[in-house]
Amino acid sequence: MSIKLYSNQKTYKMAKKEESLFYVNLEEPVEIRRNILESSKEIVQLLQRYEKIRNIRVKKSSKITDLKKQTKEIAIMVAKLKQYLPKSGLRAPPAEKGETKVIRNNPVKKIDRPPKINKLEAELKAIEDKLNRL
Amino acid sequence: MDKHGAVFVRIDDYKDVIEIMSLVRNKLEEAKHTINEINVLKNKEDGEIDLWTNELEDVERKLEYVDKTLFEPENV
Repeated sequence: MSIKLYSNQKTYKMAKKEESLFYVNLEEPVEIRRNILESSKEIVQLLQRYEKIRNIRVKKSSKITDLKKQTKEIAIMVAKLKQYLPKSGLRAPPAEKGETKVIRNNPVKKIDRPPKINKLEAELKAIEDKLNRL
Repeated sequence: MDKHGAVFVRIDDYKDVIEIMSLVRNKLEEAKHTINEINVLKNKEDGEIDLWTNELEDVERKLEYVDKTLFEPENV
């Protein structure tokens, strides 16, 4: 039996710790390291992409606001136009469409709508009624 | 009123009507252009999200390999 001599208490403790450790052999350490590094690189790229997507969404939201404004302006102009024209039963011929069927797999759930939508729906219904009466 | 009868617009209003019609047409063109821009942005966003998904799957695959190598070395 060999007797080991240690210079001081610290070296002794370290040696004891070393003796109790187990090691697992890694077959391809370089490959693992490469994978981890590439993964962290890709995660940084993902975060950059998130910023890109956020910017696109901001732009899209601004464009949607523009469109909303334009639609409102069109509605005002059409209402103005309506004032000039006589009340007649003339209607534009309906656009020709192929037969379209809407197939719904799930039953439509009733959603609580904000009062603004309800008001618009009521207005739409009133217009449709008027059109039907013509 | 007869549904198939002729419709007349007073001549003094006619000019205004033509003007409003032209404005409406311009506004419609503008709105169409905005919709196109929204579509382009939407496609761009979809493309970015697709890339995002692919990259995330790639990271997942790589980390799975690392996980397997570290914790189940006999399976590699």
